[in-house]
Amino acid sequence: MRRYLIGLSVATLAAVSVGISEAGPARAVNDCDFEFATSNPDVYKPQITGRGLAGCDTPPDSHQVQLALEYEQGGRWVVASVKTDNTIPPPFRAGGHRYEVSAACYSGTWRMAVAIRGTIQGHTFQFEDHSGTVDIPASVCHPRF
Amino acid sequence: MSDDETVQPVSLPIDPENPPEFPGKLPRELSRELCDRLQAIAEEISPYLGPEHRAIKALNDASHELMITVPFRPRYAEYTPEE
Repeated sequence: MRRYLIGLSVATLAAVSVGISEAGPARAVNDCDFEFATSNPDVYKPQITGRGLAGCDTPPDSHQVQLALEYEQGGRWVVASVKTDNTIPPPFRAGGHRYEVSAACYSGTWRMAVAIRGTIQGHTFQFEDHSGTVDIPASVCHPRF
Repeated sequence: MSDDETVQPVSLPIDPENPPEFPGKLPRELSRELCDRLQAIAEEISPYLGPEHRAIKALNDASHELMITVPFRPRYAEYTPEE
C-alpha cells in the first residue's frame, strides 16, 4: 500500500511538472470566424441576397458586422446595399449569428463583402473578406441603366 | 476538432447491434458544396414561389445548419486566453 502511495505521488508530481512545462506562456489565439453561407450571392428575382454567419468562442467586448452586396462597374466594386449588425455572435456550436442583406437585382457581376471590427480584451480587431462572384445576364435581371 | 482532414464518415455497413459514434461534423468543402446545391434549389423555385416563401426560408435555414457543423476555424479577434 505504501509503495503504491509513493508511486502515486511520484506519478502525480511528474504529471504536474509535465503540465507546467507544457502550459508555458499564454499564447494568443483567434476567437471568431465569419463564413458566407454560399459561394456567391443568392439570385431571388427581383432581388439579390447575401447571407453569412459569425461565431465567437468567447464573447468579444464589441463586434460590428457590415455585410454588403457589391456590383462591378468600370473595374471597381460599388456597394449596392449594406447592413450593419452589432450583435455579439455566440459560438457556432450554439448556432452562431446570421446576417442577411438584399438589394434590387440588376444584370451584372455581383459579390458579397464583409467588414468586421470590434474589441476584445481592450484590443481592436478588423477583418475583411469577400465571396465569389455571380454573373447575372440581362435575361435574368434588367440592366441598371 | 479543428482540422477538416480529421472529419471522416463512419464506415459502412453499420452494425445495428453495435452502432458507431458519428463524428457530428462535416468537412468544410462538403458543407460548402451542399449549401451551394441548396442555393441552386432555392433559386430554381424562387420564380414560382417568390423570394419570401417559407420553402426558400427552409432551404436557407438548412444551409445555415450545415455551415455550423464544420470544424470551427477562428480567423479574427485575436486574444490571449486567461490562464
